[in-house]
Amino acid sequence: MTDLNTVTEIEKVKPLKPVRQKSAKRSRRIGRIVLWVALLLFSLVMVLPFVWMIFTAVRPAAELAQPNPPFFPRAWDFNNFVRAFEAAPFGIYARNSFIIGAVHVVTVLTLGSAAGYALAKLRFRARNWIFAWFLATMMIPFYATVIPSFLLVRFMPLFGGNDIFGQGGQGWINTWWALLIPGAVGAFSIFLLRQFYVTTPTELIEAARLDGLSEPRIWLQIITPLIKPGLLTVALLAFESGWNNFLWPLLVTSSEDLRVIQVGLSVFRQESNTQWDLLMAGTALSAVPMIVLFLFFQRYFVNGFVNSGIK
Amino acid sequence: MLNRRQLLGAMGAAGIGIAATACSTGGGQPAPGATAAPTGELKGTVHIVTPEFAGTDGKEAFEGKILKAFTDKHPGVTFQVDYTPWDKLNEKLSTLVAGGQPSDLLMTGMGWTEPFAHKKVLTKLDKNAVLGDAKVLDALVKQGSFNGDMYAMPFLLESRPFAYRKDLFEKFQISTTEPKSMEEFNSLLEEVKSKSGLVPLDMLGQNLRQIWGQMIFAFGGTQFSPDGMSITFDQEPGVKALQWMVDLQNKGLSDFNFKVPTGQPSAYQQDKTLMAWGSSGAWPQWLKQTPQLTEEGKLGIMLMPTVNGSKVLYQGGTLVGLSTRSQNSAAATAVMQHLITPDALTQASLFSGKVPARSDLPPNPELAKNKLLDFSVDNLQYSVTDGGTPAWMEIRGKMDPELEAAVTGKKSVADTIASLKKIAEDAIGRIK
Repeated sequence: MTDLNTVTEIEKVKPLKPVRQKSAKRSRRIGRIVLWVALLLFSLVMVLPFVWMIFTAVRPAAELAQPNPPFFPRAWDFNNFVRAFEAAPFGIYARNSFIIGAVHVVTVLTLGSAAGYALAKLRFRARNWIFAWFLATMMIPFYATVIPSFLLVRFMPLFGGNDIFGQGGQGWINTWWALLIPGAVGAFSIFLLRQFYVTTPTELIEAARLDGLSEPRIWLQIITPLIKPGLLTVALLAFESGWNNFLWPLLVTSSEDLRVIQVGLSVFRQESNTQWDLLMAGTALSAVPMIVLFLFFQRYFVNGFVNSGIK
Repeated sequence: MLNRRQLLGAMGAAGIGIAATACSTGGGQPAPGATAAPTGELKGTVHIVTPEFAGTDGKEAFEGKILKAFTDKHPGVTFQVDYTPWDKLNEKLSTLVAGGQPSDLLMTGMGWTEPFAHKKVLTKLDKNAVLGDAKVLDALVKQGSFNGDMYAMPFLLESRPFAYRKDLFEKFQISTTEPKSMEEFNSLLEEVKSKSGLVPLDMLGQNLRQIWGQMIFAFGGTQFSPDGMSITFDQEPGVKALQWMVDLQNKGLSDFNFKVPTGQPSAYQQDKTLMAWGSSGAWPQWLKQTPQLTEEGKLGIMLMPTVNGSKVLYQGGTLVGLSTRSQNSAAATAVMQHLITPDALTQASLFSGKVPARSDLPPNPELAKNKLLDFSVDNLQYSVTDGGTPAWMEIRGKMDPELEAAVTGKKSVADTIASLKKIAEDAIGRIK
């Protein structure tokens, strides 16, 4: 029981220290520190391969020849980048990879968002079946479809000397068509964009329809601006897959003018020898565009996945 | 909302669609008769797929020197060369074949001839017309043959003799006399181990499929029947060869854990072993990383003796075949003839560091600097390689994990042979 009998006495008394409150604050602070340390360690683990790539790219050949080279290069040989660039026509390769990546961004965004919108917001009979078909095709590995895809390209009617039945010529083989069309839109992009469109308010569409807007305008002007994080995510993924594509361009082209940057990197990996210094220098150069893009758009990129329910 | 039944139905439909697409293929046509020597004026484009001559320097060596020498004589011929890395060459050739348009000339690996000849991708070659007066040993011609006929011309080889530290052998008072039998070779390993205290041989850290392939021949056996349609590696030599590899590991005579990434200094280069199953293709790496090991006084080279008193020298390498779909077989055949000429072959060897396939090349001081290559040229008659079945392309990639399980003690030799037998028989069954 308290010894304070009057209101005056009670008012003079200073409050006790908020012990519980302080301990809660301290535990929150400790929790945050632990979280930051854990995240820092995890980030270091994630970034370590990139650091190793850079260090190997600038390591002198003599240092690479050691059984256990030091983690930090003792000397920095930036000439590796020059030698790597001279080993193959990387200028042409980079240009081609960029064109493929850029065109795929445009086509994937246009076709993928149109398909995604239709599957999410338009009512038609086979909608669920078509969506299930797309999901099913995502489960088939590329290696299982590479020969059928190649045959489609090879026997494309009325192209590359082929007749109406796709016979007699080369079709799209060794042309830009083969590099650009098969990857113009993918099931994953359609799926991802559909997930974004599903989260948009249908009332907006109905209101727009009442106002007399056509369906393409509703898709383009009303709903699509609401899913910018999704568009950015898909654009980044499309550019990345175009930029890093290796096997398909190798299979459908034979001319050096149509080869891509990843093919150039294979120059440094021969049957009985790998030139690690040049390979890493080339890889570092080829990774720069993707790293820069990710640094610029990482917030949208992460949001894109979070909002679509893919984590 | 999509229910499970709808999803499974769509998946099934997708599978049927893809299977139907995959069935429409434009494979090879029946092989015509053997190619003869081309006559008359040559013209047109010759398409070549090659895993060699990568990069700017490679293009210069191949197109700027080797093929230019051909076009100087035949100005009507032009070339389109498709440079494809080794690890994707099979995919490249498979898609070209499926599309019905392989290039005129295909460069393939050792052991690839039977699969591609069986699929009617390669044309039967007239050995005399293609090789002319080039001395290419029968052992090598056999590796480009299928059912007794030549389908691919040996071009560049990657040999695997044994290298050893001559200076350390002398230091530890180990005889440098080349072993004449398998028992002597095994005794040598034991002696190296007891006198040096080191693991004697850097071998199991390398390609186990190739090691087993060589050792089956060393034990007097083969992997497949002459027609390639049944296996023989489950017989005594095959079993003994695998047991020999397992014993190497168990007795500490070689160590699977000495495996290093390609391009990094090997255990032999790191002075962990006194002997190595070397590779002529690794010579430039030795020169660059450990030049002291390439000096005369430090490098000895020997071959694996066999149970019947002969020797074996494992060969990887590159062969050149003519496509059955070639639109310009006369010019393509002439190019093959050109590639085996001394000048062209020397240029190719100088660039690639690989062993030239003909044994009568004039001496070349630059080539002779690669002592593993030089030694191999003198011993081409002992060449062996693995493979020998039309189903090889499917089998080869599945062998390493099985052999690794045996060497590391996860699986018995008998079980490993049984697994390999099943893999091989399933693959052969699919092409019968």
